[in-house]
Amino acid sequence: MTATPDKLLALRVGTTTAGDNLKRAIEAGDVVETAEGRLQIGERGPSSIWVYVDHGPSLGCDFLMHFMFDHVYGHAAVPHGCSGCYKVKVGLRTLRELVAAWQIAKGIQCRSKWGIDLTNPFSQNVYAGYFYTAGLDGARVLYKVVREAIDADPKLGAGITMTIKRGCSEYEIEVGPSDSYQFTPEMAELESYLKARFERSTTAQNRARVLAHWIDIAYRLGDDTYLDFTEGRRRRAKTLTYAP
Amino acid sequence: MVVRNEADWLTATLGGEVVLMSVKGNDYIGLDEVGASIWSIIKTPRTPDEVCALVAKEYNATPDQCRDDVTRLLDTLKQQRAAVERS
Repeated sequence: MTATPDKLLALRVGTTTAGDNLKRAIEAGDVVETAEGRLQIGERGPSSIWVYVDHGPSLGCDFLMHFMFDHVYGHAAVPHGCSGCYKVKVGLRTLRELVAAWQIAKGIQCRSKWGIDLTNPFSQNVYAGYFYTAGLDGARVLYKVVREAIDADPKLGAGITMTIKRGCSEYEIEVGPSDSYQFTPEMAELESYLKARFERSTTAQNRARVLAHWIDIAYRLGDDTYLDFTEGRRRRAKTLTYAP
Repeated sequence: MVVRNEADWLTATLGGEVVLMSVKGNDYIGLDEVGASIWSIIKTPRTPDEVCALVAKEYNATPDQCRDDVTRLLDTLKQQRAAVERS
C-alpha cells in the first residue's frame, strides 16, 4: 500500500523532517509551490555553466541535487535516485585540453558534461569533464575507455588526471564518505511522490553564453591556449603600460 | 546599402561551434552553421541581396529561401553593433 503524502513527508532527515524542510524552502522562496500544487526551484536556482554531451537521457540532477538534496533533505541525506551515480572525472589544465577532451566525449556513448570547474568549491581543477555512469563497475569499464582515448590524443596524454567518484562532491562533504551512504525504500517513495509534483525549469541552455564564458575565463587566467580558438586574436586589446 | 562585420568582434570556434564576442564589451552572439557562413561573407562589405545569393549558392538553395535567415541575422548583428550598414 502506498503511504499518504503526509506520511511520506514525515520522513526524518537529520534533526528535522522532509516536510518541514520543504515548508521552510517554500517560505524562503527557494522553492515555489504553484496554485496547482506543482513544485519548482525558485529564481535563485543555479543556471547551467556546462556543455552537455547528451548521449543518454537527462539524469534529473536538477530534481535530485537542487531540489531533493538542497531543499527537501536539507543536505542531511543523499537522494535515493543518486544511489547508482558514479562519475568518471577528467581534470583539465587548459582550454585546449578541455575542448580536446570534450571532442573525445562526443564519440563515447555516455552522458557527460564539460566546462569550468573553478566555481566548484570542492574541485581543484580549473576545467573538468564528468562522465555519468550507473554503478561502480560501469564506471571502471568506462574509465578504461576514456583513459585510452585521452592517452592517445596528442593534445591530452597521460598527464591528464582521471578519477572515479560517487555522486556529487557536495554529498560527501555534507553527509560523509560516499561508501557509507544510506538509502531506504521510504526515500525512494518520497522522491517518486515529489518527482511527480516537480516542474523542471524550462530555461534553454544558452550554449553560446557557456562557450563565451570559457574564453573569458581562459583569458583572465592567462591561459593563452584560448588563442587556438580565436584565430590567434586576443580577447581584449592590451593596454599601454609605462616604465616605472 | 552594404553591410560588413565590425572588426572589434572576435570569432571563437570551439568544437565546431561559433561564438562572436565583443572585444570591447561583454556581448556575445552564438552562430549556427549558416550564421557562421553569413558572418564570414560580410567580412567584405556586401548588400543583403549579395549575401542571400552567396548563402544560397553555398547551401544549394534559392536566394528567396535564404532571405528570412539572412535578414534576421543581419538585424541581430546590427542591433548588437557587430555589423554596420553603410551606403
